[in-house]
Amino acid sequence: MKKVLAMLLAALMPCCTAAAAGAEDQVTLRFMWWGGDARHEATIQVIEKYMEAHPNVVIEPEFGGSDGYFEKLSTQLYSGTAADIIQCGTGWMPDFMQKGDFFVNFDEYRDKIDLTNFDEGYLQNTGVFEGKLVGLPTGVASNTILVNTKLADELGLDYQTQLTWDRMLELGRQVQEKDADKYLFNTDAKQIAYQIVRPYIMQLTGRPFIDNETGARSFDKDQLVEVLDFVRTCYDSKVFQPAEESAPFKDALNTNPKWIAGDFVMAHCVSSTITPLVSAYPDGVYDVIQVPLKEDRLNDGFYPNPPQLLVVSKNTKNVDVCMDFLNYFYNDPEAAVILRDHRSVPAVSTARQICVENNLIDPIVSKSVDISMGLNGVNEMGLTTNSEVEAAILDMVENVAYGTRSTEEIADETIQLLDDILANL
Amino acid sequence: MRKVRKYSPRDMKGLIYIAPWLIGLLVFQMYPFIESFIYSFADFNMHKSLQFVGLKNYIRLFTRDREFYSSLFITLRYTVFTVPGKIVFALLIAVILNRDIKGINVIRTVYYLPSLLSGSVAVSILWKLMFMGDGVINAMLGWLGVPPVAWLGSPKVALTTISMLEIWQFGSSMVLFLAALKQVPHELHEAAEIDGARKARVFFSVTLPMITPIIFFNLIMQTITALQNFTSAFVITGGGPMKSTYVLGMKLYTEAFKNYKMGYASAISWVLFAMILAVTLLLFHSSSMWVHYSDGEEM
Repeated sequence: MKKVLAMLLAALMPCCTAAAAGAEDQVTLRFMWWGGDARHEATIQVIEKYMEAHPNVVIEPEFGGSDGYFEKLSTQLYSGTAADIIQCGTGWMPDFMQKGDFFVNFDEYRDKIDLTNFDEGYLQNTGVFEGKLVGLPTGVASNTILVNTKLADELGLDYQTQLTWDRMLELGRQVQEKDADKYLFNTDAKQIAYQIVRPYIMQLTGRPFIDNETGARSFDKDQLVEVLDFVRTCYDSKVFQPAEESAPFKDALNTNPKWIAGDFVMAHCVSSTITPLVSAYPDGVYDVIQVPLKEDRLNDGFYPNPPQLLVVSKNTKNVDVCMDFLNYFYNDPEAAVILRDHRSVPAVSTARQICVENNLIDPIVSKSVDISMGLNGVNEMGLTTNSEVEAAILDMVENVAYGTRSTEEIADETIQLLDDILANL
Repeated sequence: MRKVRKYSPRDMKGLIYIAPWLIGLLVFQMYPFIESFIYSFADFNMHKSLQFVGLKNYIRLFTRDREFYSSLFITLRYTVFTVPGKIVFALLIAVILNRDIKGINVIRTVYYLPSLLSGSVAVSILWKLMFMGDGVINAMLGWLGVPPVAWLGSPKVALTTISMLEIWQFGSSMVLFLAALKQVPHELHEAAEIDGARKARVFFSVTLPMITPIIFFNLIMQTITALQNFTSAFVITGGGPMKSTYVLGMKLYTEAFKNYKMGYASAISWVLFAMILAVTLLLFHSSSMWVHYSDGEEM
């Protein structure tokens, strides 16, 4: 009897081994992201291409709009049900990292994924949180200044010389002297916050507006008043269109009728909003220029910034396959052509080069990113990008724009409000 | 001994029929209603589990949140402007349309159309386009030689602009007024006219008192709607400029879905609920002084 049992077990053993091996090979991953239709289609196409080359891997796409994505992701992370590969908002990372150990450190898998085509400084500045490389930037977005060079030439403006804050005022005044119906800048409160207030403070202090390390604001009242006085002078000198006229076009500068009529020389924008601005006034001739830099700055105040990061969940059972897929996603020429600029200008230099060569990215957009890669501002993601802090900065800028009170009073109120917000975070 | 009531098969059948609505009410209204009350005494922000903080949210709201008071004031201003405006406008149009002229039904339908789109994002976007600096309203003013107005850009004017959208959607109130006007007995008008009353006197002394129950109903409903306003402020102005249209509904949304302070937002919603309840009770209390019911009973 024992002999029969032993033979039976021996006969069954290969079957079990084969089944176990099969189970090991067959891998199913979940990849979650948000975006629009174009991004969905391109990402799915890349997933399908990868699965064709790796028949043992199934990647289940989970995609949708941005509405509710953060809430869904938060819930999944805390309940341990998050996807294996996740598209994550850059600004969410400090909070997630503070609350738990959710993500894989890419530094531990550099032999599985080629990160050499990323700019190392950019990778460290944008993907490292709490000392760990937990996010890979999907692209590069940057604050930039779009110039209608045709109008600038007509008005005789020298826009090629590096801008400083003072020079920006001077150019604005020159525009008004030549034609009072035209303005130097098409901007809004949010762009002023992003492109003047925060960078100006960083150039003065060398730290983000709210310093993540100290959990406090990085500036004193005098420094804030200096920045606010500059913004008010821009409005008083009509470097910017009066706030009452430009307010309805906030977050949509390309819809401002004066931009559509070609009455602005420059526009504050990010790389991804260059195309809508150019399309709104196609009669212009465009270029991008370096953002204003203070002569005695501690750092540039500006820096390239990823629109999103891709992270790998620590709960995944297939880290190696995740790394292999991400390696294909970021570095494969075929994937680069499919993904083009659906997640902004690619962060990987080889993919960016392929897109430029195949005319998949506007050269101006590419130039804006190239310019920004040389800027050494400090990543502000975290407390500065907290929604309440951002709202307080926007309120402050609006108060300056509408001239409701003196800049001293506005600075006092804002500092008090910010300190209160920070104390309750 | 208390007799336990047994449901008959007929009762059970009735319960089954209303079960979908009953379940919907319990799950989608009663549960969030009770849950939000519990949240209002807690710190809850999606990242961390519920932590009870007692009255902290309410204390912070009333003692440290200046934005709350400005939002409250803006909401009240919006309500005071839109509710009487809408009722007067709806009544005026109802009186005009309460005539037997050719094609009156088509005209009534046309006037009712804006209400069918009530609360719609599309209408809010249309409104925004109309009132932009180079929109059709300023163009029309330009033809009359009036300088353009910053309808959406000026903190002094923006609230009026979104209030006008609410007033424009007067159709449902108008239909109710129209029905009420039809119910006023013709002999009362005839008697007043025989007594020598002019048309204006007939309207103010006979018609208006007879339709006060409907005015009261409209007043209650429109006040509640106005106090809860969100869509127009969110879509047209985003609460700006300078937070001049930042109504309580906007603040509630921001705290809940931008700042992820669910507990704090719940406290705001309960304060808003208490405010609506207080205003409604006040209106009910005042109704005994001015609402007349044709059967002689007064509220």
